[in-house]
Amino acid sequence: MSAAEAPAPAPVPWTLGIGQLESVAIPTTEPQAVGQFDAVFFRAEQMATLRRLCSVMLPPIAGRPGALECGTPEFLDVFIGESDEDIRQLYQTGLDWLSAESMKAFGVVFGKTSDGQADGVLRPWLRTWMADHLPTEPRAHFVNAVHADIRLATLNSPAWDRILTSDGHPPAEKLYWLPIEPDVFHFDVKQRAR
Amino acid sequence: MADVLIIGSGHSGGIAARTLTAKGISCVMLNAGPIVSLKEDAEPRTSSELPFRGFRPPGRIPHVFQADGFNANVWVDEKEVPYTYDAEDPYNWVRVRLFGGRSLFWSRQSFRLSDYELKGKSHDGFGEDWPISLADLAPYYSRAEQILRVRGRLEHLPQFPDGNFLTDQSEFSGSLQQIQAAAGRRGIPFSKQRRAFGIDGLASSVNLFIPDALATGNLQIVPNAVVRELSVDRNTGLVNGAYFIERLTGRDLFVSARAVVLAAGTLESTRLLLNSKLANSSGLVGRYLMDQIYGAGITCSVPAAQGGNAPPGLMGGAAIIPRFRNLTARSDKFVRGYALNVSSATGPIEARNFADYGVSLQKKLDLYYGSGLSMMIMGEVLGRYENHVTIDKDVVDSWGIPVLRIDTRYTDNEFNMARDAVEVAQELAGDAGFEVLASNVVPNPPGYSIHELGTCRMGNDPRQSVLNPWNQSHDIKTLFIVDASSFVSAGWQNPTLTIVALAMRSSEYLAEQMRLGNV
Repeated sequence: MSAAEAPAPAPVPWTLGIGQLESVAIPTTEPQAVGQFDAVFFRAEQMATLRRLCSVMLPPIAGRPGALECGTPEFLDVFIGESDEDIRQLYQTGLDWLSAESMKAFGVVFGKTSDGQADGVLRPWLRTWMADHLPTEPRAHFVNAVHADIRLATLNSPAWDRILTSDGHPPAEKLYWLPIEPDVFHFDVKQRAR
Repeated sequence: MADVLIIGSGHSGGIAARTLTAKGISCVMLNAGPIVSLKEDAEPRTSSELPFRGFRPPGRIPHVFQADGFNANVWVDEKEVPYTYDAEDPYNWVRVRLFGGRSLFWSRQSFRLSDYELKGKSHDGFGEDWPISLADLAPYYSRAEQILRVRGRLEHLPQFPDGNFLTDQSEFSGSLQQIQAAAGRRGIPFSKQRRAFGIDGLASSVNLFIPDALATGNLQIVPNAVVRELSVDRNTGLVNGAYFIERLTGRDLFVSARAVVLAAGTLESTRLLLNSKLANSSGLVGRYLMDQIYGAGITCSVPAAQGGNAPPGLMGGAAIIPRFRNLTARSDKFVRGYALNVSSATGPIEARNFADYGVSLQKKLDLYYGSGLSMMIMGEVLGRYENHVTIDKDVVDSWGIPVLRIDTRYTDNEFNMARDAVEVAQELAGDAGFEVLASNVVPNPPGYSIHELGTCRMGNDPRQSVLNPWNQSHDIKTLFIVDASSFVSAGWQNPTLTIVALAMRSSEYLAEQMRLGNV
């Protein structure tokens, strides 16, 4: 290449060739496939209780993965940990109470109960309820709320979707709204009153 | 200077723009949020592809029960625009600031108020009558129904006024016919739903009102404009414009107009009025906040549909049981009335309808699949002076504008009404031979219905109302409020159709007043 044909020295427009990005397909891997997980919110005994709850309330059924296989305890640990104080309190108090109840009834913490023992602790608190109206009694509220959360987190998990897809029933897509012209500036506002 | 400044772009602002611009009146419309584009702002995803598996993002919009992982970004962020309330009396204020507002996402149910609601005080002694009757509103209802393309069935019931419908001639499914028969044996009416079909299913200000307004060449639209205060001519005392903040840059601007039409939604319009300290000689700006009770009802199962055995035509569709209480006979437990939404489903039934889990629950879900039918209340909340909003001077939003404090609670009238509705629903289900799986007699928190009404009620007496019968401020003739803040009573009916009719009527009056030189 002659000196006359050589490209100009830097700087060049920094978006030069950016349109080529569209032609590059980048496959991704889920974080949990490569990373180790440590509980971030629940204490060790609370995680053990939560894992037992998941295995009891939504085990593998008819070839579909259960809550444990779908990473539900780990998901809830992060999700609850980032939730408002009332939700965090509900879970921490509820998980501790379950363990205390099973210790009182069967001499074991909930994380080590048999299926029958776990049922003995949970069943008195199961209720039917309508949308946005969980039972108000605190114990029933927790048991039914955690059951609903375990189900939703499992049925909406990547592991569940992979099984559905391999069965020839890919999961349904719905419209997801991205952040719409989000505010990116934070103003130093004072009260603007007359 | 524009002739009219319209604040808000939902159903009320949109129909005001359409009506005024058609009369040759130049309008500027300010909207707090951006214009949304389906192509750029939404995309199809599965639940597992969302950040939180479909759950509402943690710590965000806790009062928007309707929110989930898919739609979380359409609602007003409660941290960005907060409001305050007593922890013992929570309020669910559900807001959309996107251009078009909540008209983008509403349920389409469209019912006229009857004189049982408009003249409620004359009927049962509670509250105040509206200064207008069904006869005054009927012509506007008819025009609104035509634009919205409301489909329904004529019933000739005084409490359920018929309208200018695209007639629904379809048959009810078998399960709904069984409930209809049970209702008929009790003298309870049962009818087709009345829904706005709009164009290709969208019945929004954005596709039904705004295009016509733009076509006149008389409308300028400014999105991302957060209005903080109305301005007043110091010499005349008349409202003559508004101060607004560019949402994304924080820059302060002022727009002037001969008249201002507030259409920001009941509570935002009232908030603006209170922050501007205007139009409140009655002392009633912020008072008589109402909405409608939702959430009480039942879920049942149709036995003939269980086990996957539903014959064709048994399940599916929807109906409405319009108000039947306190028309002639009087209940000693509550005044006014409610409707029941009846829905027959063909898909899965929710797990919460069974007190069970694991394998045993799954067996029930399989057995009951496709057999669900629900009956849910829409009930009138009474207008009470003590249910009100004020400005919380200690809290401001992200643009430094003082926020609203909401003080409201339901009373025995609402709770007794909900209980009655559930008892009736259980009786009808039982008579039809259906199995009641779950029930709830407690209404959802105030505000849940997303039908906030009142706080600037209309009336003939300036001492007892904020607006005259034309939605014009008693105190300031250049100020009109055309959203649901003008409501005197809530009714059980979804308010959108009435909002559109009132805003259309008010806008025509404003146009005429401007033509006569009175405004």
